[in-house]
Formats: sequence, structure tokens, C-alpha cells
Amino acid sequence: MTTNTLQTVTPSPGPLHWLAIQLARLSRQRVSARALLKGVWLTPFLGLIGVLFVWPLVMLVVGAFRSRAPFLPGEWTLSAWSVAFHNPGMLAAVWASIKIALVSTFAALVIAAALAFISERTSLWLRRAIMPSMLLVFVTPGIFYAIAFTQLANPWTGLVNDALRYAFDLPTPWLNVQGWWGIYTVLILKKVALSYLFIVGAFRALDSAQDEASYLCGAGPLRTFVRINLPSLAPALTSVALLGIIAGLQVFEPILILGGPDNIVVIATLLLNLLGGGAGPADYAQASILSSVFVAFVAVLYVLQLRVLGRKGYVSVSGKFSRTRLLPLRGVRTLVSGLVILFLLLSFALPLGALLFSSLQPYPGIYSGFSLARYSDVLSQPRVVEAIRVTLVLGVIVGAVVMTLAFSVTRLSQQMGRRSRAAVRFATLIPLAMPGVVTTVAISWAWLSLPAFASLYGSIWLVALALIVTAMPFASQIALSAISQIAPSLSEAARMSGAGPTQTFFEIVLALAAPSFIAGWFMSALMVSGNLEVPLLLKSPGVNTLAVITYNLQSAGDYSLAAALLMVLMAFSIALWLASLLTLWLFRRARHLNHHRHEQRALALASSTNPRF
Amino acid sequence: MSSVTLNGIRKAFDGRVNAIEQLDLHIQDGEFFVLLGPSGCGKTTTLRCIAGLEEPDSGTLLLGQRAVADSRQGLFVAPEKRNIGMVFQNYALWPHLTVRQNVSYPLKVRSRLGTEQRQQVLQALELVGLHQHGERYPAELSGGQQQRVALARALVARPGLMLFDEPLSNMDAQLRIRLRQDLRRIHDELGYTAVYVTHDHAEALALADRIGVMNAGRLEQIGTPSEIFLTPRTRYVADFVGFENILPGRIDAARGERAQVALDGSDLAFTTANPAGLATGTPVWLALRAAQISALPIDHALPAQAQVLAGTVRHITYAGDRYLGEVDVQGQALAVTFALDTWGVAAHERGAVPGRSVHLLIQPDAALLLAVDAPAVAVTGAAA
Repeated sequence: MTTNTLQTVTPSPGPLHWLAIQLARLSRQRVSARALLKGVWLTPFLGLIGVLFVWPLVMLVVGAFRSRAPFLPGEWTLSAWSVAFHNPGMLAAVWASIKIALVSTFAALVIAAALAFISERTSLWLRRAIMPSMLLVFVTPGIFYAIAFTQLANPWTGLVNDALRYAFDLPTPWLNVQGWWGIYTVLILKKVALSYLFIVGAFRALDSAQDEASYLCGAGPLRTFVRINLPSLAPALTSVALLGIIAGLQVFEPILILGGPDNIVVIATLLLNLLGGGAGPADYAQASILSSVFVAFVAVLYVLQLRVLGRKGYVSVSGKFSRTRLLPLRGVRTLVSGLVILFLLLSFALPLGALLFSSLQPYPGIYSGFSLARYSDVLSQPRVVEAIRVTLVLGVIVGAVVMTLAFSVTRLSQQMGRRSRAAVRFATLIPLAMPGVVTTVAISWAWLSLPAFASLYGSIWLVALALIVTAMPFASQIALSAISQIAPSLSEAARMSGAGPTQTFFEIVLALAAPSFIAGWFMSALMVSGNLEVPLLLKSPGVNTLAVITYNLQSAGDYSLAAALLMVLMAFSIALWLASLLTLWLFRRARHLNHHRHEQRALALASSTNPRF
Repeated sequence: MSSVTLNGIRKAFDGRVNAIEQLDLHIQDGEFFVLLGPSGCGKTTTLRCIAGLEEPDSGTLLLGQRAVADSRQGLFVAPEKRNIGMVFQNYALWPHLTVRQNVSYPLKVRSRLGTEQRQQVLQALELVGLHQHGERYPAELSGGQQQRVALARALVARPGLMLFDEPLSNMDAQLRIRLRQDLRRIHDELGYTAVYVTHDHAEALALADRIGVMNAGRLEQIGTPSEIFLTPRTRYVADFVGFENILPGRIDAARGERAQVALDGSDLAFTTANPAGLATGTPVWLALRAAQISALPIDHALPAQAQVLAGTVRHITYAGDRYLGEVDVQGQALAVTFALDTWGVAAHERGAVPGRSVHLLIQPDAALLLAVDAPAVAVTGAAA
């Protein structure tokens, strides 16, 4: 056979040619200047992802094998590992974290499931109040709860204790929030909100037709719930349990504020000590080991979660609506209402009331001379005014940047191959596996090793970058769900209409995802404003947020001032919330006005021309 | 206007099974071409390759004389540069834009929106009968109206090629028939080339100039609607266009244009036309529609020179204008028709009940002979 005569002679592809083809494949474009340009643009983008999310993790692991802090000259060594495994303090902290995570998660899950069932499947009149309350609790910073419960039930000046002492003449404090009970209360309240928001969709998506089929087979409501509903809720419940355990292992603020007297130390607070934020000397290698082992453990949990969830992770809206049959709850109506009211009181009204009351007191334990003096005291401090400014700037800018980044990553990763997409997605989720303290440390070590970032040290921008990294997993979750709800054919239709990928992104995808973008912006801004770990650990002089100053006031014993400042923080959050609502409203109105204007014009046109049609 | 040429197009997803294998197809300028097949046969992937929404792994694709995809040269023209109109199965209307904004979008992105273009938008909306609904939002329209908007949007820029991805599959039967007629009327008015994907063979028959039947990523047969419907070339196509009886057999005796076929596993033999001149001993499929086998009462007069079989009724169901039944003939079950003319509405009174004997009258030369090892692509009709 003389097949070689049929072959055309082609020059052997050089590396540049290969690169061009790969880039063209990557961006699904013709091999052209534009495709190359796009590749050139994609490279720094991937670089940014690497620097922000991957490099810190690398430095963290490296730190476990170095004799000194990673950015200082030192030797490679394993010595820290043997120390770590024989350190009783470390084991105790790990054990405490595990205990807290398990107890709070399961308690919260039971309450959240009950609330979700009540709000979605019963006809209780209170059910409509549950969702907004949970949202409120979810976005309220943890530090707010920790401090509010201190005011409410600390053994010395707690409002409940003082009230009981006054009313019944009880000699000893009746409630003590300092210690395990307080920690559990605060954690469970916060976690109920997280779990509720995560599972309520699954409860809502339960198909009434399945219930009805079960009733017709002779099963009562309870049996139907256990035999039919619970199995279809299982993926959501297990995955929220794992998420709760991971979050529980990372818990920080409540321990810092409530764990002091009983000397309760968990992984995050131990890390704070190891890094020199506490009493003892800094031990970077120990901190690295603890963090790396923790990250590895959480990674295993995540893989487990992915396995459990499989591909059923997202409950999509089917667009097919059947009327949900609501359970009337006849006999136990009053009891259930009472329990729900009690929970709502405990989760919101009581802490808020306690803070408001404390902020009006001249000093804790003094029940006369109520005034707004604490507010004027606190607001007249220059550092507070500065902190409000810093918090506002950080919240708004970081929120906007992180949402833009998240939408861009989600969008760009759609154009990549399956593996690269998974890699990019995974990179942005890394911070989720690291406690805020670890993330902050990893970030400062990693970036100090890069000259461009080292010069940022001590400035507000390093804090901002670190906050972007910590808020990224949350933001990309919002971006992913927003973008995946937009049917791909909507983008394809734009491409077929002649719009390029960029134009399609702005005019179709972003326009449709705008409400999610705005909501995500607001929620990230709130998370950023309430974050205590990042500004506390990066210790940038002059960069104090409201959360840091509140914490400082609280640790110095200025309870009333701290309460007043927290009320300011709450007002600030509400202002942000109103701003986001206003933006959304303006956005919708602009769209609607546009519609209206055209309608008017069409009507005018119709009346001025012959009614031919 | 634009012809479409596919040469050796191949596409696989994530290294798994090939969605399209070695597809060669030429669609003529102005032709209404329907790709017909069950879900998963590769017809939508083919359409998306033509659109540029998927990049073929290999092969070349030409629109008119212009190459838009050529794997060897790394050439791939983005969908927005191909000037194609497309109608999607789920309409893909943008919910944040009004009907008029949806329809003007293709003109807007080509950055030309003057008086003439506004006129063009109005014309497109008039063509689909929705000129009065321009200021509504898609959510305020019914499903049929939404699909008309999608059609107007695809047509507005006057593309030479229109692609349809099962556009009528989300609609009820009556609406489907009405829109089907509209689609063909608009095509005939404007004269574009159309490539239409569907799994509904009634739709294909009503719309197409030519039909390509796809199976597992390959084109099984290309031909005019009547060729596909009346003379399928493979067992797969015969099954898909509704031949109820497809029986395995072997050619006993081939005499010129005719052949006698013995069915496997029974003593039955059929005499039928053998246009392909298949030789004696060739294994074949014998394809017969139920409509071509009439059941007659045992006492009914039989026409002379007819091929008649005797059998036993297995079961029978009423189908409106006739009864459909299954009759056992020497161990072979055949799907047959019980005509109302012969049996009356109360067919059971005349003996059309399970277990009773009937005669079967088979139309002469009705049975089709399909070679068991038929070629993958049987091209017939205009393009052959």
C-alpha cells in the first residue's frame, strides 16, 4: 500500500501553534487574534484565582514543616509534628470543637426541620413569620448574639438574673450564659437559621401528589411524613448536617466572648493563641499543623457530602405548580404556636431587647438614669466614626467585588472543559474548609511572600482582600445557583441572534441575574461587616471595623458602650438592607417604566393611525 | 439563501459514546429538510453543530460556499457570525424583555435600528400574527404565542438558514397542527433553507421536502416523505414510520422482480415484489402495515387471485374508524385491521372475538423486503 503518497506534507506543529490551538479549544473560538487575546485575558484571571485561593493553602501546609514562620528563613523539619501529637492542650481543643459541632448541629437540625415543616406544611397563622425571622437571624453577625446573651444572662449583671433576683429575692444567679450553656444556646440559634434556610426549599419542593397517593393507600399524615417525605428530604438533611458540623468545627466569636471564664478552648481560639494573639508565645509550626490537619479532615467531610448529595444537590423549580395540602394541626395548634413564639422570642426579640436595654443603662446592673448618653459617648469617639467609615467602605466594596468575581468565575468556568471547571470551582471553595482564623493566617503568610502583596501589609486593602477570600465560597454559591437557573438556551438564543459572548453575558445573563447579584451583594456586605477574625488577626493599625471595636469594648468591660455600638451596627445593617431593597425596587421600576413608556407610545400610535388590524 | 453541507462530521461528548458518527449530508438551498428520529439519536446534536453551538470533533461544515467548521484547520466560526435563525424547543424568550424587544434584539446587536428596522420588526410580528402583542412580556402570552414570538425573532434578520429544534413538542395536538401549517406557509413565502428536528413522523411528513431518519448518530435513510413512509429501506426506518409487522425470513425463490419469502419459525410464505433483486437464500425482514392485512369473516366471499391466510383471533381493540387486532397464523402473530365496512360497529356479533377463526386478505405486493444487512445510509429520491 502506498498510503504515503496521499499524505499532505504539513509542518510539524511548534509549541506556539499548539498553544494557539489549545487556547482556541478552551475558548471555543476560531484561531484568531481574538481567541489569543481571550487566552491572554484568561491567564491572569486564573493567576488571580491561584494567588487568592490556592497559594494560601500551599503556604499553610509548607508552614507545618518549617522551623520558623513561613516567610522567614528557617529549616525544613518534622519536629513540630511530634510536639503536636503529645500536646494535651491541642487534643483538648480538638475534642471540644468536635463536641460543640456535633451537639449544636443535631439540636439545630431537629429544630430547623420542625420549623420548616410548620412553615411549609401546616396552616398555622404564625408560619409566615418564620422565614423572615430566619433570614434576619442568619444575616445577624455572631458577635451580636454572643454579646446580647452576655447582657441577658451573665451571672453578675445579666438582665434576667437581676429581674429574678428582684422579683423572687433569689440569692444566687439563676442563669449563667458564660460557659457551655451559653455557647450552645448562641450556636444553636445561629445554626437553626442556617439549617432552616438550607432545607426549607426541599420541604417546599415536596410533591403534594406523593402525599395524596400515600393518603389514598391508607397512611395517616405522620406515617406519610416518615415513610414518604423523610426519604426524599434525606439528601438535604444529611448535607446540611455535614455543613453544620464543618461550621461548628470552625466556630470562633462565641467561644472568644463566652468561653473565657470556663477556659473553654476550641481549634479556632487555640490557633489565635498559637499565632500570638493570646497570652503565650507564637508557635507558627504548631498552628500550621493544626490547620493542615483540620483542612484535610474537612476535605474528607466535603467529599463525603458530595457523595451523599450526588447530583441531587440542587432542587430546581419545575414550573409545574400543584397546590400544597396544608396540615391543620387541630389539637396541638396552641402548643405549637407557643413553641414557635418562644423560639422567635429567644432568637430575636430577647437579644435585641437586651441590647437596647443595656445600651440605655448608664452601667450594667444600674437600673436608673436611663439615657441615650451611651450612644453620644460612643459616636463621639473618633475611632468609632472612623470604624463606621471603614466598615461601610469594606462592606460595600468587598461585597461588590466578591459578587463580580463570583459571577465572572462561574460564567468563565462554564466555557472551560469539565476538569478545569471543577478545578476552578474547587479553588474558590477552599476557604470554606478553613476556619476564618486559618484563612486569615494562610493569606497573610502567602501574600507576605509575594512582593506585590507585602507592600499592602497594614493597609485596609489587605483586610479587604482577605475578606474577599473568606466571602468567596458564599458568593460563588449564590452566583452558581443564580446562573444555573438561567436556561442555557436563553444565552444560545442571544448568540444565534448575533450577540457575542460578552454582550450576551451583560445583556442576558447579568440582566436576568441582577436580583440575585444585589441580594448577594447585601448579604456579603453584612457578613463582611460582622467578621471579627480577619481584622482582629491582620491587626492593621487604623483599620478597625465596628466588630473589632465592639469586641474591644466588651473585653474591656464597657458592656453598655458595646451594646450601644452593636445597636449602631444593627442600624447600619438595616440601612444596608433598605439600600439593597431600594436598588432592587429601582431596578424593577426602571424595567417596568420602560415597558410602560412603550405601551403609551403604542397606544398613541394606534389611535393616530387607521385601525387597520 | 444558503445550502448546508456536512462532510464526515463527528461529535462525541466527554469521550463517551459518539453522538454523531461520520455524518455526510447535503441540504439544498431553499429546501425544508427534517431530521427525524427518537430522542438520543443525534439529531439535535447535528442541528447544534450546524448552529455553531457545538464544535464538531472532526469533519467540515459549509454554509453555502463558506466553511464554518473545519477541524483540520482549526476553523470554527462562532454562532453569532453565521447569520442563522434558530427556534428552540423551550422557546428561549428573554423574560426581562417585551415581545417587541425580544424580536428587535437580532437587529439591535447588528447595531442597526432605524425606521426601516422597526418596520422589519413589525413585519415579522405580523407574519406570525402577533403585531398587537408587541408590548407584552413573554410570561403574559400563551405557549403557542410564545413560540410564534420565538419564530419572529429568528426570522427578523432575514437569515438564509433557519434551524428548528423540536419547536412544537411542548404544545397540544390541535395547536401543533395549526402552527405546523404556519411554519410551512412562512417557509414557502420567504424561501429560506430550513433544517427541522423532530421525533414526530406526522410532523415530518407534513413539513418536509426531504426527511433524514437518524439512528444512533448515523443517517439511516434520506428521502422524500412518501419514500420514507411507503418504502423504508431498513428495519429501523420501517419500525419508526409505523410498520406494525416486521417479520424475519429468508428468500425461498427469486424470480425476476418477484420473490417468495419463507418466514422463520413457521410454514408461512409470502410472495411479493423484489425490486432490489435480492438473491435466493438472502435473509430479509418482511415489513407489512396492519392496514394492508384485512381480516374477513370465515364465511365472507374471497376475491379471486388474492393471497389469503387462515388464522385465529388473539385479541381485538376498537380504534375509531376501524378495529385493530392480533391474529395467530400458524404460530406467527400478525397485526391486522378489522374494517368497519365488513364487520360493522358491533364486530363481536360477527365473530371478531378471541379464539374464533378468520381469513386474512393481504394486499398484493404490499409486503416490503428489507435486507438484513442494509447499508447504513440509503439515499433515495432527489439527491440520489
